[in-house]
Amino acid sequence: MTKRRPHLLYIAFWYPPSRASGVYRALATSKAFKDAGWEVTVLTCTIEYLSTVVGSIDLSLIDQVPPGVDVVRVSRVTDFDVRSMTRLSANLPLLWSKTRTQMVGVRQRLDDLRGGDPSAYSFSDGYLAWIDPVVNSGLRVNSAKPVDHVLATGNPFSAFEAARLLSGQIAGGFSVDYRDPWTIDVFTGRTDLANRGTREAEHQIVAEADLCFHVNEAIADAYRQLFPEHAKKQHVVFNGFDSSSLPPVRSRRTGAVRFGILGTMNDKWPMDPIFMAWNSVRDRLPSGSELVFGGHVGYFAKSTGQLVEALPESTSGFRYLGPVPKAAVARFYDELDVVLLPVPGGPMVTSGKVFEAYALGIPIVCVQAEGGGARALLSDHPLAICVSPEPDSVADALLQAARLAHDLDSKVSSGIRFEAREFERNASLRPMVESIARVVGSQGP
Amino acid sequence: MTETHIPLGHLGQDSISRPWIVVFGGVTRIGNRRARRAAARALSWGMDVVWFDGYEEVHPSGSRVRLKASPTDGAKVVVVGFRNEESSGLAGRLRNRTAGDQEVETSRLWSPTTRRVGNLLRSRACWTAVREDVRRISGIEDPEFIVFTDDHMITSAWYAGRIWAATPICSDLPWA
Repeated sequence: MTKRRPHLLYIAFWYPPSRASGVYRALATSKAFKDAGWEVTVLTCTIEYLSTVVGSIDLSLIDQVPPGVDVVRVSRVTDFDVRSMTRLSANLPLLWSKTRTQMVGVRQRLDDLRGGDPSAYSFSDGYLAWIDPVVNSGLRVNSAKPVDHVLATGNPFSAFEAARLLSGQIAGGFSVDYRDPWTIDVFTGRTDLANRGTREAEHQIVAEADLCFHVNEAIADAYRQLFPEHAKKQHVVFNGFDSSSLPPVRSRRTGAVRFGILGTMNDKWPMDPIFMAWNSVRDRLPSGSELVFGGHVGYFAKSTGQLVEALPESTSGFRYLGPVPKAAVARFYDELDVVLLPVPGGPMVTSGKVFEAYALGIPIVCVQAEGGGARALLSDHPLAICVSPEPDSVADALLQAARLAHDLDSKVSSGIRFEAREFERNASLRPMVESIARVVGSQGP
Repeated sequence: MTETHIPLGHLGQDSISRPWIVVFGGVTRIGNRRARRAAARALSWGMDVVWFDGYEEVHPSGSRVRLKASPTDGAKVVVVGFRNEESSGLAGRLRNRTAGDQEVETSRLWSPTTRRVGNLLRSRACWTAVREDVRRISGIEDPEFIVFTDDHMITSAWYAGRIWAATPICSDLPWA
């Protein structure tokens, strides 16, 4: 008799064609389990939601979904339906929106004062309306093909609650993959910012989960301290890079230096000191040197406007290249001499792009505050210059990186590429697959 | 593809000759950009577009669109500008109110307040500006989509939804 392959139900709100930052980890996770011989079913949001509400989509990413992975798109009961508005709210939509936001806060404060748990979900999240549809879809999937384990990735953290509820109704257990901390502030480490209902919900989820995964040691440590009784469940699974995103190992180039940034820019990126530094060093760089940015501006269409306006004029030696499709990432990097990593935050913020940058084997200028997570990962990189987001420091780093680029030794680049292999996606996700397989009691087919 | 710019009051039922969408393009730059994108996509589907544009004239490059899509032959976009009418209404006057020198002390309190009130009323003001034109085309075949591209066009989308009850209302066009 043929042994049945284990079946993973993967709850990932952001999955292709979404272009949210967590998509690549979600994509890689589904691929890693599929490659390890699992049946994989992904529960994710609808394309309509991505295009009409989020307003951002990358259809080219659909081609990256591994063959054989079943994708079930689950509608979210949207909280904004123009037709359902009353005449008053439709005529004063901004006032209605502000009042509504205030009322959510008031209700939570009242709940806290009452000490009760009156609502179906006591925690705050903009995606609560997705939980019930996901649980129902998960039960249908389980009926058709029994699920051995449920893995949820957050944010949104409603996915965690959906996994917990689902797990309670099927034979398989569940695990959670934190791409960011939930009730711990990723920038300050504070744990008292979330309301009590949210803190309790997270505690319950962690208590019932088999395993919790985090993207770096700083976050895992913070959770070990937050839930000491569940410290052993906290594991680190780094983000990684995709081999297909790397160009061939570079050799030395002369002449103009091209500095480049790739990623989805958001308003937390320390771009001002970078642009100020760029303006101050341009004249000291070889003629024709330029700074290019490739990627989306803002995760959501509605956040794009102000960020685009903040970009410098092209006359300043800066060029915005627009979004770079996944298939063109290697070509983008191949044309760079120096890669810049603008990273906000502190020890808990690493940025997914740091692994790609690490493996390129060209000089890196990482702009992040002292003690930052990305800086820690680059500490042993021979071509990385890590500086605080201050114009003078960044300017010095740009000049130093330009010199490194002109003196680049391809043997050093090859050595870096070799060292970076542990961050390749499949390798970095292997611990997750193996530990869940152990929990399920299966080592694959 | 033809692109026609007309002022309010000149939109007629003969403006549309094939499946069409109505775009309430808003008064903000981001709204204008999204409207332009929606119009381009609809044109590439071979649909006509009626685009109510409250952004034009502030930025001449606004609705004088660089529609980069490859529109199906014959599809057209009719841009109905309403910025002047909207900004000269009550909400616009409140929003743009500036005090004279002798009123500086008063204006410190008054101007931000009136600006805020004007902003809160802006969605209604946009509808007031465009409603007669919308009603004028209400008798023709229902549009395929009602698109609103910023918060200030929600009122217009809501009323248009009452006229064309079966038409989906969205803030961007779905992908085919």
